[in-house]
Amino acid sequence: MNLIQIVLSALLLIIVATYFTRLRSQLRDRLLVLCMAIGVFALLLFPDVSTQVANIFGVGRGVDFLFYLAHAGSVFIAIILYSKVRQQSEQIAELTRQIALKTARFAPDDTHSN
Amino acid sequence: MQAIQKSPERLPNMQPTKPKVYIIVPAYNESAVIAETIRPLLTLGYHIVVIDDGSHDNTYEKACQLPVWVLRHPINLGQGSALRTGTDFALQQGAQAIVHFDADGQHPPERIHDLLAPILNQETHIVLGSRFLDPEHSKEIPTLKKWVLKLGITFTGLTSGVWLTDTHNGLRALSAAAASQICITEPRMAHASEIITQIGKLKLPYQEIPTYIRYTEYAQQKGQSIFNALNIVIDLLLRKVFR
Repeated sequence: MNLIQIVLSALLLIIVATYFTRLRSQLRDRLLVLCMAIGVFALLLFPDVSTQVANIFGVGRGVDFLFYLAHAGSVFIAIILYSKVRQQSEQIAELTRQIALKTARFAPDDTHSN
Repeated sequence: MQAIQKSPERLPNMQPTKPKVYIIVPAYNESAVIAETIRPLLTLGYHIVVIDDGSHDNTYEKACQLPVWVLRHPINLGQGSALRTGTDFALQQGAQAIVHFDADGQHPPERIHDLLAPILNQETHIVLGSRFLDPEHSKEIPTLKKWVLKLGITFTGLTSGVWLTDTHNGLRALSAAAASQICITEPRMAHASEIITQIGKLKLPYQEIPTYIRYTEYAQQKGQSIFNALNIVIDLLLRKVFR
């Protein structure tokens, strides 16, 4: 491993972590997905470009480079989905708690109050 | 849906001048022991709130036979959420102090007065039970559990700046003021660490008192596995990333 790989990996980690912890918004998520889609579309239309871009990153073949990008994109989308599932779980929990509060009863009696 | 009922003016055995204390008992599948756990609490003269956290057994029905408030989560959310629901309810009812008490019979009811005294005397806002302050009973703690708890104490101390002798004891009391400032967002078992972190952040005054855990066969079987500590750490880390 050479120094540029280490430095770029560290920078990428910092950028991704910062994005997920501080910068997310629906608009930014959509813009990122759109940029990725445009990038992939451009590479599909101009496949030779992929090889040139791949070489800049030290990757031999354009196809390999595209696979790396696709993998990174999938991971990104999986994290976004997980985040949305968490938000929904929190909303369900809040609804559940409100139901519990509204149906509170002082026992004892033999019949349910509802 | 019916409107929230208010507490009756007087409960049986309750003196008119008794402070308005609510004992919150979150329960999940505790039909075997819930009545046994609640009965000694009835003589204390405080309000008792049982939160059935989506049990599959008849915990709710058993609780409804006792002179206590009963709330039910239609689905299971976790002890943290159940405590939050119970605390919110108690605050809505005008509680002056709130006690958290486990439903499985592990906590000694006779410690509740010691837990509440510093709060009702306005010496502090939070009182936490600690099994390590009770030298006689702390010998009964299984060795492996003791070491995992000590690790938890260190982890919580380093992350919250609050150094306690027991960070995962469910027996605690809070003044209404403290209870309204602390917001339990962790639904499952990480709430214990979360409460301590908030005590540190909000600089709330606290004390520990000795208590003990009754390691009954029932409780041991039902209790948290030691590996759940890993779940707690992961939950806390995920919350830091996905705020």
